[in-house]
Amino acid sequence: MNLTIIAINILAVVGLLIAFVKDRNKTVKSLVVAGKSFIEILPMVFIIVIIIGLLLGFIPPDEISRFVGEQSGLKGVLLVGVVGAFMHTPSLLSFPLAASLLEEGASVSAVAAFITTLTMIGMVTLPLEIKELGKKMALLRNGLSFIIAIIIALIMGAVL
Amino acid sequence: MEKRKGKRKMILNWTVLALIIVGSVLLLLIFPDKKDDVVRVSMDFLIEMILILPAVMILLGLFAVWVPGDIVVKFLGRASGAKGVVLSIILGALPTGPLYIAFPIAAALLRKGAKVSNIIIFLSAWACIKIPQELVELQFLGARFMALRLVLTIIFVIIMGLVIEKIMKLGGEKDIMVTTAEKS
Repeated sequence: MNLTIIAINILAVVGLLIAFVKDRNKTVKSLVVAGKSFIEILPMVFIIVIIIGLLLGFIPPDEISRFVGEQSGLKGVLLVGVVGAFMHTPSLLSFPLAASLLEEGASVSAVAAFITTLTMIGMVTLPLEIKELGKKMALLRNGLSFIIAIIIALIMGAVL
Repeated sequence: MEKRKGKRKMILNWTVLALIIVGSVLLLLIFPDKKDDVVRVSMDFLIEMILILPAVMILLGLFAVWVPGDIVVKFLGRASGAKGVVLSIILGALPTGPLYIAFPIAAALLRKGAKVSNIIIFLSAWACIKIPQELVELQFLGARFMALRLVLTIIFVIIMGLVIEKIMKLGGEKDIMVTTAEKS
């Protein structure tokens, strides 16, 4: 157990208590929503956990670092950025995956690009975004998000 | 219809999981010496996630019920200037569900005449400045990584919002009006 885990659990419990005092029905409704999303995300959690296990167990660190390590340079960062943009996984699950890549010799830039494009860009949900916001705005948002993700990644690589 | 689609996705996810389990069991039977490493790493990550995810889900659930979309629309609809930017980030960062839920809210904001920059900032904050998400990032990637990425993201997202607003204006307000008209 570490501090972050304890903090987030305390936050949840305190939130629940406050909610319960304010409005019992709404709290029950929140818990139902929470339960449903947990069940929904559960298969993805197992999938990611197994993939991380296989990744760390089977692929030697120098293989990973050749593609997305320091020496892969901008090409590696762009590659992971594109992968992140197309992946349709809950953003919460990108963090353990990113951590395992980092452990395996991926560069800070590559990992930062991966997280940022994965969270900000949704190629899979792009049609929905176009329908709601119009083609121009949706394409601009996704396109520019990719560019700023790469800039953020390069700055992070330089600083950390 | 939305419900059936969700169900189909669930079945797909569990099927993929089953296939991956079968695949990895076979793989580990072929390479038994890797078994200990793979199982240990997977278990470590699984435990960490099981300790953190229920709490994250509860926070998401609480905010989803307590801060419905129309409250966001009410607040952001006429906010402008620095106040609008700050409000967009805060309202976007409240923990409420995946990005595609935010699109209809953003569309409603657009119809209400909210500033394009604020809508973009709101969407981006929703996508990657979520409070529970930051905590999970802190857990897995450490304080320095999380804090630096957060600061850079906020800076660049604001710049992006302003740039997109300028570009949309160059193209004339017509585009926005057309999509709005189509919607209603």
